[in-house]
Amino acid sequence: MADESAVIKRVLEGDPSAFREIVDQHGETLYRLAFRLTGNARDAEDLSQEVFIRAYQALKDFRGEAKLSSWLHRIAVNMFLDGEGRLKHSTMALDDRAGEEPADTAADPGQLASSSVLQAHIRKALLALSPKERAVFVLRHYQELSLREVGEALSIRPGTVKALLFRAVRKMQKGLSFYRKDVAE
Amino acid sequence: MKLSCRKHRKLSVMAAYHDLPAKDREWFERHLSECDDCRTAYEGMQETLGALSAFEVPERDYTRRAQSWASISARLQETQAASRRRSVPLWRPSYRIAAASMAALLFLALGIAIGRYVFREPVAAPAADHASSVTPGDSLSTLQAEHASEYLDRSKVLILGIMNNNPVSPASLQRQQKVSRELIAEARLLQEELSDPRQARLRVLVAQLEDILSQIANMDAEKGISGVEVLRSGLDEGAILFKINVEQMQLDDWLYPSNEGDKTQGS
Repeated sequence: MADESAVIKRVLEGDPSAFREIVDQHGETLYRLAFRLTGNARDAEDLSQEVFIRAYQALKDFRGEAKLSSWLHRIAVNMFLDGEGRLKHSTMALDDRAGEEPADTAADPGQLASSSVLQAHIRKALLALSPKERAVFVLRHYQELSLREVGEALSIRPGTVKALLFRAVRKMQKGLSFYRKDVAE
Repeated sequence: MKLSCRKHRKLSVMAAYHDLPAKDREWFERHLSECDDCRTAYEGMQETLGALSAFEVPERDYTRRAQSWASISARLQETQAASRRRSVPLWRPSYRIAAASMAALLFLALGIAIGRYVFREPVAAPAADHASSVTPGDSLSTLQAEHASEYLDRSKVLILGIMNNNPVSPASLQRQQKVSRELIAEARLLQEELSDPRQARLRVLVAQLEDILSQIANMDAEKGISGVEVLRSGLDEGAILFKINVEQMQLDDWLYPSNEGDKTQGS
């Protein structure tokens, strides 16, 4: 987007096409974040739409101190934690293959990672985390936010972020223990 | 497990994300080089984190994205309508009828005023005045103007068809949704054609139409009248049909002048 603040100004002035530009610009990354938080496409779709509705209503309060994308991500994570987009369809969406184990656990990790069985296991392991652990893990691991930024987004202290991240990683290791037997200890 | 190994495992997550302070990092690396168990555990964790990075989010196709915008747009209109209703507590049905009558009168008066303005007899204007007026021909080719006019016409026919499809018949709605999708695809092309800043008003109208068409494309036949009502409210709020008529009149005036001299003047 050429000039973020100019687009926001147009939205606030009532230009209907301007908000469409924001949705076009940020829709895909927001959806990806929502998918990682909720674990399925339908909840991710619902959550990302809710975020845009909330953002539209709150846009007049956006002070431009952070980037618009960070602000949208922050809304998404907090709405997820407030339960407004959480796991309405996850039980239906879980792949049956999450119950299977790969035929060869000693297979090449790269090959395993791309397999649909491992994808299902990762999804299952992510869903096994508590919402807060998952939010911290997703923001640090996938969104690559620093510990400080994660803390700011969730309004928690850096020490708490570290503790939640530690627990999340340990749980994920256990969830994917078939992958490396020695790390589940 | 030794105390040092326990400490090492605790630091391993921070180390994997490069979040360890320098002094801890030094100790961590030293222990890693001395302890086989901790090294194996750390490598295992890194492999797991590597595998987690390969977690794929399925791509959304164009239709899904368009549907998403249509839903957001419809929800925003509902929200705005609801907030307006809340802010006017005295808005009762009897007032609505009175207001609707006044709006109809106003609309009529506005129509007459615009009609007089658009269809007035050409006046011999000074050359400087003529140069400052903007007509479609200033920035559009004949082909583009025809395209825009035809697009507006097809959209209007479709919208009126939906509004008059009462009760909503699933078969006809399906056909109308197919046409909507075709028009949505065409809208993007048309908006690119209307890139000249002097065509901003027409471009905004096409963008508004695109939203309306997206709503039609995603309309649920089961919702029937309520779906049409949402659409109607969107059309009323944006005065879409009125804007289409005005733009069409201007385009047609330029495309089909009453005599050839007019067109030469406009181009």
